[in-house]
Amino acid sequence: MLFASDELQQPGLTEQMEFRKINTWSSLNALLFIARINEESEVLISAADLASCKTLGDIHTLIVNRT
Amino acid sequence: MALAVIKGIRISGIVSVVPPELEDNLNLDLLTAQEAEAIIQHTGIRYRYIASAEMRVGSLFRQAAGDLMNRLNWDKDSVDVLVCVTQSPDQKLPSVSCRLHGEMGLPTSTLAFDINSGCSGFVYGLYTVSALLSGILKPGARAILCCGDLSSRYTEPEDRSVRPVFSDAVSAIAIEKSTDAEEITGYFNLQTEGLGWEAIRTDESDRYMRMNGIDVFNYSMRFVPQNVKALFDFAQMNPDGLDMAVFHQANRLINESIRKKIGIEPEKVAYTLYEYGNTGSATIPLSLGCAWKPEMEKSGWVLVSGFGVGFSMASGLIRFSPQVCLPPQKLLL
Repeated sequence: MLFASDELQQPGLTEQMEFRKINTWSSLNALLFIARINEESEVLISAADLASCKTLGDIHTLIVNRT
Repeated sequence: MALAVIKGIRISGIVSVVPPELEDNLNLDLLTAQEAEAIIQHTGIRYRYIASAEMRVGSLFRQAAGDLMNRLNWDKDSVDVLVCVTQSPDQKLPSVSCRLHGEMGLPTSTLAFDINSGCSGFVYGLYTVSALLSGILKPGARAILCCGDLSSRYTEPEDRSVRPVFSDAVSAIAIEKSTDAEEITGYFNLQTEGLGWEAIRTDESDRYMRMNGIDVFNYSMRFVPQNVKALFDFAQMNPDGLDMAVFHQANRLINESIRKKIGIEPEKVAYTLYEYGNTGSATIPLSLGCAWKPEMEKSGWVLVSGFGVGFSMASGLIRFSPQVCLPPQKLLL
């Protein structure tokens, strides 16, 4: 679910990966990512939430804590 | 929650006006071809209209309102209310509506004022004007509501979040008292979440608009589906009973997410993002002008829902059977 957006689908993504270092990461893809998370889990992640995260695992923890 | 009913007021016509100059997101220098295609795919926006420096929002309002009154055969002296909804006034003083009142030669008996509102502005304006008309005793009292912005005035040319989205346009809407004063012609739900004021704002250090796309998405998801669902409950209606739904044209991602959460069939939802972009408070009347056809009328009820800058959200279920409802025309130079 974390990598559902087409632009973010890459082999080898891990929870330790720093998402801002993914070469296809952009403000548009960040928005698509947030939208897909909301569609799948109803969880809303704000810009401040995202700023507090470094890795994909951090985002995953946020989602789990709010689900 | 400001839930309200309007009786005996109807929309008689809509005319929209865009500047002649068109910008194509595929040709923007600040985006690669791949980025431009991704933006068009996910925002739904390709073309945007851009006003030149000498154009005034009041000039566009004047053409739209004048053409609308001609088509409806409305005499100037019959207009009791003139309200302009805009966040890009031509000057700080006086109001756009007062200058427009003079330029159009309306009578001194016409009340005129502006409303500072953006994405939710059409619905706020429609409710305000309807409530004003309800209080005027004169049978057949009439109003002209003008909505729209020259958002390009506040667009930083290098801003990759704002520039590909916003577009310039205005609409004029003719509203009047109908013969049956007791018929319910509109249900409204107008709300505000002022803590979201920073999501879309002009920067104090310059004149440019700043938009936090993720926060706009979040506020939209938190409040707009609930706003519309509460309106349906209030009116004891459901999406199946609609002839059409017209949402503020924010971007395709937000609009489709809202549509799915409310549960409206895609066939009933109007989109004009590709051709016109996000034109602020003009998006809903402009889209009605593009999409509504007399043969679509079954129940006669249309959902209109505006949301955005503020953060402000307002929805209406309105009786919609206008005499004039046209796609945008170009500004005459």
